[in-house]
Amino acid sequence: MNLSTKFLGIKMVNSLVLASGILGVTGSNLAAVCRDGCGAATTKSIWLKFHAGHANPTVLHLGNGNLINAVGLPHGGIEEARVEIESFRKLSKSPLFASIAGSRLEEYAATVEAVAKLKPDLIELNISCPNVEDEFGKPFACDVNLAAEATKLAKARCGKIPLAVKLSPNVANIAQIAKAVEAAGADAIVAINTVGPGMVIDIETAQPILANRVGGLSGPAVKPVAVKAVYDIYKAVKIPIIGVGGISSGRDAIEIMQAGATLVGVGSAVVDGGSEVFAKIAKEMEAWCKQHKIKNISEVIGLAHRS
Amino acid sequence: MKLPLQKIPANKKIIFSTWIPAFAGMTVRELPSTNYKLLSTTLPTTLAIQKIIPEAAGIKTFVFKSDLEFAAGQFVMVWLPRVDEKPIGIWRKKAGEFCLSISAVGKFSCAMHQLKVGDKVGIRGAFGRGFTLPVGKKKIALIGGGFGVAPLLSILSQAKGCAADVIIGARSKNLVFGKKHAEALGGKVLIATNDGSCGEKCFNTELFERMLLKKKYDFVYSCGPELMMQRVAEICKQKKIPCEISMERYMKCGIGVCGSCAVDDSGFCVCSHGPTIEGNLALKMVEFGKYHRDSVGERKNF
Repeated sequence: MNLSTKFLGIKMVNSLVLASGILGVTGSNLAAVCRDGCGAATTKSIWLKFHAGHANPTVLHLGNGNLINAVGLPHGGIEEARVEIESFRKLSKSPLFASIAGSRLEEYAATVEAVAKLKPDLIELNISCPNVEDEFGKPFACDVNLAAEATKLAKARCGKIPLAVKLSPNVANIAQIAKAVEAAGADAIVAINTVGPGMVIDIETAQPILANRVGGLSGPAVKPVAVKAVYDIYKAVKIPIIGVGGISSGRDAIEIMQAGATLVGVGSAVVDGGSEVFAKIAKEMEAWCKQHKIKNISEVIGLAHRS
Repeated sequence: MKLPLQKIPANKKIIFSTWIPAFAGMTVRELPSTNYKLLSTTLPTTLAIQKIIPEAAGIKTFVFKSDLEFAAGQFVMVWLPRVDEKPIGIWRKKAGEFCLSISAVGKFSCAMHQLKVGDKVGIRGAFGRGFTLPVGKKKIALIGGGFGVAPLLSILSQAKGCAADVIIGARSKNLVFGKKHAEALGGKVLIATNDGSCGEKCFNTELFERMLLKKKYDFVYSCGPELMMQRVAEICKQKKIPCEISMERYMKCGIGVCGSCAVDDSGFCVCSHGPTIEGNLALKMVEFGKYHRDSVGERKNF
């Protein structure tokens, strides 16, 4: 039993991906996470120009591995991205996924064009961050037409680099949006971004704790939301899915793969497990496959859809 | 509530075998064996300020009544609603309290200085790994610059029976912090100022080197400006004295998730793998003494 896999032509040691937004600020940190066992790592979302993000508190642990965050996509701009990606390439041979953020459609397009020149193995279009709504309005991933338009513009500027589009669970019908994104040229879907947004108030001071007041939820509590989203998307589209949301064990990874995910994103599990959690999950996946006489991990994908 | 520090068995050595080749097989430290009682690893606990002690120019010590247990060198995240949340090193004189010594330099610290006794702040932690404390009666040197002396004070209260020289450095007399506290905790204080207005006119690292000519130390601890700690680590490496420094990097979550405080080239997070770091390991970090990153991750030279 060997967990190695190939995703859109990208060779990976296993199906696990560091989800965007967790760790991943620096190239050396992304490389460290790869050494600790993920098949590929995703950068924090890259902006064309400096973007400040929110004041602290930005990340709160709600307990049991669940997080609420409103980091607000801080980034130094494309030159910083170049430096960090170069630093990553020096330290690691693992595939690197570049997440991209923007405020307007034209900005997304320009950023994709600039990031494509840095030759990441995959471009992940983050049109679903719930934490910049005050700045930019509803994420594009919450509107069928805008999601498709952003995908189309990005795809035209990716060259040969595969394009994945990260969707929001905070919509009425995620499958419909996935379908539109597929038709617009996406090579893969990433589902889901954080849930909510939600709010936590400190009752002694009567103040919302996050500086942004609201933030996206992640961790084990949102896993059923992610599994359902992936299940719905798998039924609706033919392109592969990177399933993300509350995965912290091998069993969780198998579950979201059975719903239809080809790759599995892991993020919040780092809070309890450290970056070593990737090696742990991979080991558990391998053990589960052995026990169930599964020779190739791809056999698990979409199993829950068998009638 | 989960106690992250308990997850690693006491005294288990952490070895960076899978990290960058320069660190292969290198033992970072033995973890302290205390079972810590954490105030809150999750949401902030709101505490009222018990007492405010005016210190050297621009520094105040805020005292909180709390049964928070922590190792010397750990930090808490301090939240001021509508302002910011920052990591601050903690220390204490006696059980049942903890102190935060804060210099008014930026928006957060200036807002902190406006607070009065009874005002409430939110506290998460304690986080990070504390200093490895010496066992038995040892000769130790604590080398602190500015209010970096604060986390070292806890070593004095926790490493009972050790003979400690506290070598404080400051630009001038009115900026010397921690002398009285260190003496009250049994430390022997030596002072170096840049302008000679208090103690010796030199850097405290030079004073430390002079001390090394006459005596030996079993352990050295340092906290303060990074270039000062770099010099301390170099001296200790040369003299083969075990040494730990406390690294400062821009932190947001404090719990090893956001990646803001990751350091090159090892890529580990200062908040969870540090902030205390073995001197020889710090010297192997490419960014130590050279640059750090700001709130968006941009590199800034020291």
